Amino acid sequence: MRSLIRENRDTRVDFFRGYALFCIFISHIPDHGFWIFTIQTFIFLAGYAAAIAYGRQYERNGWAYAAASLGLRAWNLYVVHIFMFVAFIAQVSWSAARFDNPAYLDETRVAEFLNEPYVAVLDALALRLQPAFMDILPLYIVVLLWFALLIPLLRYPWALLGVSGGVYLFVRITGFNLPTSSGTWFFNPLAWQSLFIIGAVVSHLGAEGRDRWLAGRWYLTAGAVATAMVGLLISAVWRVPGVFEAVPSPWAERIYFGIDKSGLHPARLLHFLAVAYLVSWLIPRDSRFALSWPAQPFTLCGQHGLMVFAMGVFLSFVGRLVMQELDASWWTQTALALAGWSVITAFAAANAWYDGAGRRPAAVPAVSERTIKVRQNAPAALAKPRPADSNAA
Amino acid sequence: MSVSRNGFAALLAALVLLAAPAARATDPCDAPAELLGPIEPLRHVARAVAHRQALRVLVVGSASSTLGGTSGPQTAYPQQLESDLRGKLPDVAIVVQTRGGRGLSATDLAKLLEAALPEFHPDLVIWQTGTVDAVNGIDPDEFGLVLRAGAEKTAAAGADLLLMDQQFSRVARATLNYTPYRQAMEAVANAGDAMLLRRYDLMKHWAESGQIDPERAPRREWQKTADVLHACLARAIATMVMKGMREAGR
Repeated sequence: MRSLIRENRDTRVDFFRGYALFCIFISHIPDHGFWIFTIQTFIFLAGYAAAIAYGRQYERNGWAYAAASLGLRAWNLYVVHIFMFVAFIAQVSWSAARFDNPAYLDETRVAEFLNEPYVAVLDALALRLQPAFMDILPLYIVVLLWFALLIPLLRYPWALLGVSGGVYLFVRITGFNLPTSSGTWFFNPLAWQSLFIIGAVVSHLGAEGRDRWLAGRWYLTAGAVATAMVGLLISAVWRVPGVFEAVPSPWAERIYFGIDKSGLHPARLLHFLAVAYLVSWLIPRDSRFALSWPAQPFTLCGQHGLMVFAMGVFLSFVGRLVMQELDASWWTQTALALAGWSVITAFAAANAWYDGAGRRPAAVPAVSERTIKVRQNAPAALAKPRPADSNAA
Repeated sequence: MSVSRNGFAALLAALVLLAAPAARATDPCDAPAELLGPIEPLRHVARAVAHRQALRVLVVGSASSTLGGTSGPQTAYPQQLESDLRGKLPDVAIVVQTRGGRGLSATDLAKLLEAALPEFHPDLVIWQTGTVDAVNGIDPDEFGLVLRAGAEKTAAAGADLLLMDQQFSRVARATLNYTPYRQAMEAVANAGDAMLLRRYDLMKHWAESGQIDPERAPRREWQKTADVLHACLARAIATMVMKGMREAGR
């Protein structure tokens, strides 16, 4: 597996991206015992990766080309979304007979769209129908298209952060969110784009840029440690009733009900950035951690984000079906997690082999002009060696 | 040959005899104690019972509280709760009233609750919700805020609150994302000293242990299974109410 992992880039990023994808896969199987969900990590690193791949395309081939490339990727995600919708329809119609039981009158409404299928299909095509577990893809699609619009601003990080932050502020102040057919988007894309853009800016700064801004500033480290501690306390208030009661009255309630997820509350944003900073500090760039054998499946998968994401969404769907029809014991759940991730890793390996034009990537000459440029500008390149890879879903 | 067949039959019969009492004797409502908790003191209930010898219970909920698929309204959990409580508190005048309906979200139910509080003067409110909101994909943060506002109004009106989360079903688990809504309900319960009836976990336990499994019951047994389910839910609520009263008396 090691030989399939490209090492001419920051493999830490790949590892955490792979881990976030693993969490997305697992967390999409409800009641599944083990996961720590990190959608923040996924969106941030998606921005990080996009800045490298499409930032380079923008510099070499111009805005139109980079935008077309991003558009193609969004189109791929859109197709995956529609495919998932078809699978969802199949599952719901198949299960509908069991839902005839009047004990489940409210639950039956999940199948109500079958009464007016044409409306449901139109809503799905317009991303207005987002049944459970189909809420990350629409977010990802909108954010990629937004990035296609903003990519020229990568050269002016402050302007980019300004535009993105302005939209974020607008959402925070007005509470505006895009509608679905029956509610609003689970992940408000206008809020969550800010994390993607921050990831893109951090990535575009490059190692030197990041060092210039971040390294050797004790107050940053101290601030990050403090923020991470506060984050820990907040999750304790959420999860441990005893801690909730220990916190004085208005504060505990504010923590409880004030920190929303849909609109990416600033506390969530800050906390994620602090933890990301600390992790990048604790695991130095030259660490070989991501290449150690337990980390390899994650690192390899992290290098094939889109495909792994799509496979994960699909396999989690299969996992839900297994738990619905057969068994949901702890053993089955473990087997589902292991089998699912093995399949995904196998696909990622096949993808790596294909990207290397049938050779192992290690054997591909690593000294093409592009690779050199990558090494100079952004050593953490998540980019693939061929432009055609951008639609490798 | 015939001997061995007889021997086999005898063995089978013995096994059935051994297994049958074990299977029959267990109460379908049996559940681990931690699924009926944590218990919070029900001060208003305790006071009403001690001083007025009366207990007024308001149930607000969607289809599983108002229709439920039982053989009739008498076997739905609100009515069964009324008779359970009468059995446990024979000298207390107990009234249970149900409001709500199919497809009503937490926001809709909050309006009904608000209207019912000054009208019915409940000592205990049982608020069953979360399913419709998950089906419609209502923002879970909004859902939590609505619940919290309702919890505050209930407290201000001098009533205790018991929240009830979603029903368990395998199909719902595969098609609906209950987790954020269940977390919101847990948060509201923790914050407002309300109790939470973990119906999802209870029903999951009953389904997995084979005690009550409406989803896999054959069609002709749907009503009967729903009756048992509602009887067990009522008993779970009655147990929690009695414990909460005792907790308040301390």
